[in-house]
Amino acid sequence: MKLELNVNGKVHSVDINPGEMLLDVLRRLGYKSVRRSCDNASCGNCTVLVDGKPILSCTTFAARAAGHKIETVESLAEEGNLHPIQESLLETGGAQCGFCIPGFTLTTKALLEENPEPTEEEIREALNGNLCRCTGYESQIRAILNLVKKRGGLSDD
Amino acid sequence: MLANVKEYFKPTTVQEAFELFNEDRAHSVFLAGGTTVALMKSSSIERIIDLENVGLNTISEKDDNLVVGAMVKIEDFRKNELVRKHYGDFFFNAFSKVASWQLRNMATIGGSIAPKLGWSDVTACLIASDARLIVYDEQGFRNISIDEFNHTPKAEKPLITNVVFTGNGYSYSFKKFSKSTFDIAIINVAIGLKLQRDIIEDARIVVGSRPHFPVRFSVVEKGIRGLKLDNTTASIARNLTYENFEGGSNLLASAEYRQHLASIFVERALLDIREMVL
Amino acid sequence: MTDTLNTKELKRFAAVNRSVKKVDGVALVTGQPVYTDDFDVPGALHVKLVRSPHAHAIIKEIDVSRALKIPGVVTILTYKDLPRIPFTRAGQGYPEPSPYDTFVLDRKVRYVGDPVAIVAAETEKAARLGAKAVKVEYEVLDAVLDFEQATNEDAPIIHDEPEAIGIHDASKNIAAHFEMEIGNIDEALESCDKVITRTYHTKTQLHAMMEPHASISYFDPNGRLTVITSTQVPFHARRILSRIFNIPIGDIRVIKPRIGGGFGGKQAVHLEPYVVAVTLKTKRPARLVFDRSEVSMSTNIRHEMKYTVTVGATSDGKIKVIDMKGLSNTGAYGEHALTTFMVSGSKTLPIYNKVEAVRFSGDVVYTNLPSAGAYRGYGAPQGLFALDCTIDELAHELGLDPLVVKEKNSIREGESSPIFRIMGEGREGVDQIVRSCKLQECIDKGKEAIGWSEKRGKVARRGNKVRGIGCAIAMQGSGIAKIDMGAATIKMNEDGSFNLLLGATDLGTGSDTIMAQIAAEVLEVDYDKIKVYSSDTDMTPFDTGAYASSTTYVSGNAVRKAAEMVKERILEKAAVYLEEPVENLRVKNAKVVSLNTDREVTYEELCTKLFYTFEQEQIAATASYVGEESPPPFLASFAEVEVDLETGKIELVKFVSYADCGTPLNPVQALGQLEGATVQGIGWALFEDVIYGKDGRMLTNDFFTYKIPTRMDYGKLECGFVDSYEPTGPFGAKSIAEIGIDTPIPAIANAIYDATGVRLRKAPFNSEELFFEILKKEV
Repeated sequence: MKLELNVNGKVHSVDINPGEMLLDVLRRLGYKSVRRSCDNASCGNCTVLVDGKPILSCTTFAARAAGHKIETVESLAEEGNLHPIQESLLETGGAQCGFCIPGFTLTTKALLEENPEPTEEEIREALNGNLCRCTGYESQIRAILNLVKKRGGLSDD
Repeated sequence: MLANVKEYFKPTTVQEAFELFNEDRAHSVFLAGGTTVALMKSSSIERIIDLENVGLNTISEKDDNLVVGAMVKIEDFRKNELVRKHYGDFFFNAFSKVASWQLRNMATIGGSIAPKLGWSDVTACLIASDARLIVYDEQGFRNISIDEFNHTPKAEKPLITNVVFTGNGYSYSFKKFSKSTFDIAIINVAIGLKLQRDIIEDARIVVGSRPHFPVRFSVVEKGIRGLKLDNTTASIARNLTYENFEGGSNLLASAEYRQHLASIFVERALLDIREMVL
Repeated sequence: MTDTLNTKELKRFAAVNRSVKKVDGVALVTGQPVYTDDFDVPGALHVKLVRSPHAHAIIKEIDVSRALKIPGVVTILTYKDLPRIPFTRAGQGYPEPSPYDTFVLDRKVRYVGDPVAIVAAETEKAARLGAKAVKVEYEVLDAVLDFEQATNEDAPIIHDEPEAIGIHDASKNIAAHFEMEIGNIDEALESCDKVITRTYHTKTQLHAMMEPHASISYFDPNGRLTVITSTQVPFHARRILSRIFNIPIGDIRVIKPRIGGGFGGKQAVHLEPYVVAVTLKTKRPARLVFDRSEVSMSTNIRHEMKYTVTVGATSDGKIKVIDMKGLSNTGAYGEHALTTFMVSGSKTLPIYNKVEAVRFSGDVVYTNLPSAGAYRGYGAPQGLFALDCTIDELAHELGLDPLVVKEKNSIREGESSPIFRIMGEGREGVDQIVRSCKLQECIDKGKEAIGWSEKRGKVARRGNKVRGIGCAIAMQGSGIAKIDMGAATIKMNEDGSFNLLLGATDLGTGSDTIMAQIAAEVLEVDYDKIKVYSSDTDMTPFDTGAYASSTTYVSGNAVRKAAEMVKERILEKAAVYLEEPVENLRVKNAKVVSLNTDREVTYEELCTKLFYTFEQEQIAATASYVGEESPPPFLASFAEVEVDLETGKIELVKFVSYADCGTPLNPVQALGQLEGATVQGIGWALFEDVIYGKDGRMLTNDFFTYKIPTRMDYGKLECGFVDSYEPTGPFGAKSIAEIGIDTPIPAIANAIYDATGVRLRKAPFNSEELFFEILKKEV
């Protein structure tokens, strides 16, 4: 089945199996940052943004995603400059093995666009579906809190 | 991936969708949010009928009722202004406990009810709010209760098109008990109370994830109707729930434990409403 | 190895003890394709394994004819097609202290999921269809599904193959056995005022690393077998592949790219034999990626262990006797069987080094369940649950503060324990004195953070909820002394940068980064002038791999040594260049400077000259290091829980861990290791239940059923380090990787007791069990 997928602003014409998941098609197209980890919608590692909303690409049919705007983490680093979320993660050590990071980054991006000054509670809730086994989460939460503080949100008290 | 899918349809009306389905029921499946279908390990599914474009993704007011399209996402539903106007923070808070943000952006209201999942928090809350389903099948459009839908024989597959919320003036509480915060419920309880000052005029007491699908416990409802909403009544409800509990054991918990939990959370949900309202 | 540079007082560090950004950090945060499954290998065959549905069976017939007819299927291998060479999957030093009881494919299957055939096809779909079409007829045998029944008279023998080597007593399903006694237990017990005996049971755990196992094999253009694989042990993998396929070690190359986590779950050969078998047969590249259920059921899990502990003390709380009798479940195959069992004792008993008599003994048994293997903590957490909680119980029975009892009986700097000498990993250990031990400081800091003095002994009840606090103290090790060897090669480039070639395996732990920091500290350059390349058996020198918390201490010391050697050579060549005696010179800020004159030369200038025009030489050095000791890190942890008495739900309100890891070479990364290990331990304590069906099939094999903790599943976490310095470690460093996972189970168990008066002696703890225990108490 032929499809047009809009990924990071670029339109790809692909030939897919109608039963294929967005995750596999994206990886085939070279977007290796989108990762397979749990196979059943339980870990968030495969998260991509569709029309700005975080969804799981492992349980989204590629054919469903046609006609929508898909964003992966490859869209974030522009001309060698890291996105502020990525920079903040580097500073706090929030990426250990790194496998969960693209999913985490996109979910965070969507959160901050919807809610530029989230409380710690709101951050944890929004990211509850992004599992990480290496960091114990704290360094990643610190990364987001630092970023929010830097941007002027979250008063110091 | 569903390996044997040969055709992917994107119909634009409910009737078209149902016709496509009828052409080959044994090998067809409706696609709502996607999570249920994507995880089917079925090799018999050859035709996917995507409901994205059949126009079931709006929320509107009709007379005093709320009409919610079956394809509305859980996250959109809980944050919707009209829903909050009618139900305050009930759905906003209750549905925040469902799955994860990503899954709430994918799963739909209709798609949560359709698979008749025992642990569905959405279904439990909808039953407590007395929501009814507009379904479509060979008989055309019909208005049925969720309980009726849950007891429909397996061979019949009415398509849920809209969920209709009637009746105002109830106060609600939802309790979910699970091991992890990203997890299905071991037991869940949803309660709707119609109060006349502090007297319980009507009660809808729903217990779900028993592990069987959510049902109203009419014995408990009758037992507290007409009583004052206070500690004593909550305690009565607790005992009635315990004595009349129907449920089973599975990997997550034993029937006995569920029996205790159900009774505790019915009591707590009632006390929560009291605190909210009185 | 102690020398003047290894002293803290001399100077403030320039490159180590700094939280620099990881050298691979940008690649990770931008989602670069750096993991095994990200590599596109044109023409690679997709491999799928056919697996046994039975826990214990013999293959009577295996018919691949129908499967071979499926379009796209290229080859199918069964036990008939492979050389029958027994080996152990375990990634350990040779000769491995694990039995050689495994074959790549066997005629017998020993757990649900045990591979039966290897299918290779042009596409993934064809491989799957091919696997489904393989017809296997089994003779189903009785299975042992409960490790306490494994040695029964009537239990079926799981390993009856004549070729197996190193099984302690196969007829009784005992893979390994160990016992040791110091002093006289019975005599010492006589002199105690209080003796208690308790049994503690730690169930298994899944690693649940985010990246599923993946391996690719191919012949490179020169015909050498190359394997790219998600492994913690590339050099062991190479040696094992050589053995089982009869290929000279030098003709195999194993490369580890970035890995998405391991925690011990990749400290064995799991996928490599299957892809290599296909490549050898077809001469084509082969790739295999496990799905999540395969990772859960068919790689390794943790050793389930049960310990009966007897502790005797005088009424003032002085512990005089400890006797630990254990049983460990190694599952279908014996990798890491003896060693994890011994570590349960060797990394717990030395904490209480003031006893008069101590005994440790027990068996490791086979069962028809998934094979247990290496897992962070490696037996220490299981032993500590039993030991720490029994001591906790003893303290309560004596009416004493359990923290004070643990504190007063625990080891301090300058002390030793005979356990160090007698119990190593799989063999005798190495005598050592604990040169750095800031356990007291860890306890002091931790108890303040949790509010131990204020909260202890007070009933804290709010309605239906009750709170309690508990403590636990732990030690681990830093590599396996006299066994684990790591090596490093450093070569200089003409722009003043250096290539650091390391065998050591970074699995997300940040080891590449801290090795660069170590080299930078010695060579006095910015750490980004050190270009790290690691874990390639062709290009990098040997290293045993990432386990036993060895990388910082062992590999780190090798890097230090190599850097020292390079520095010496730089000074020697500079002496000639600057025409100054070498004693006058030192390195400083990427230059060689004279202490007496104003003559100096930059690394850049010197090396350029040395490459092209002057005394031409490539400055480089390779150094190896083997630990003479294994200096333990120390940890004190405190848990505050809130139990809902009406539901049994356990909320973790606060968890505090303060560790002594010597100098944290990269404080942010070290903290990340401690926090990560702590949350993994919290998961094991409260969430991670592995459940089997009656047929022995692991039912909780995905993240829907097996819950690892999420960001909202625990309360406040406070982790940190105390000031410490290990004189034998690189710039004072010891390990940090494992110890954090040792304490959550005992600390939480002790806190639950404090809150409710209920002793939970089986982990993971679940609310249903606690609820019914509370109910029993109230009656």
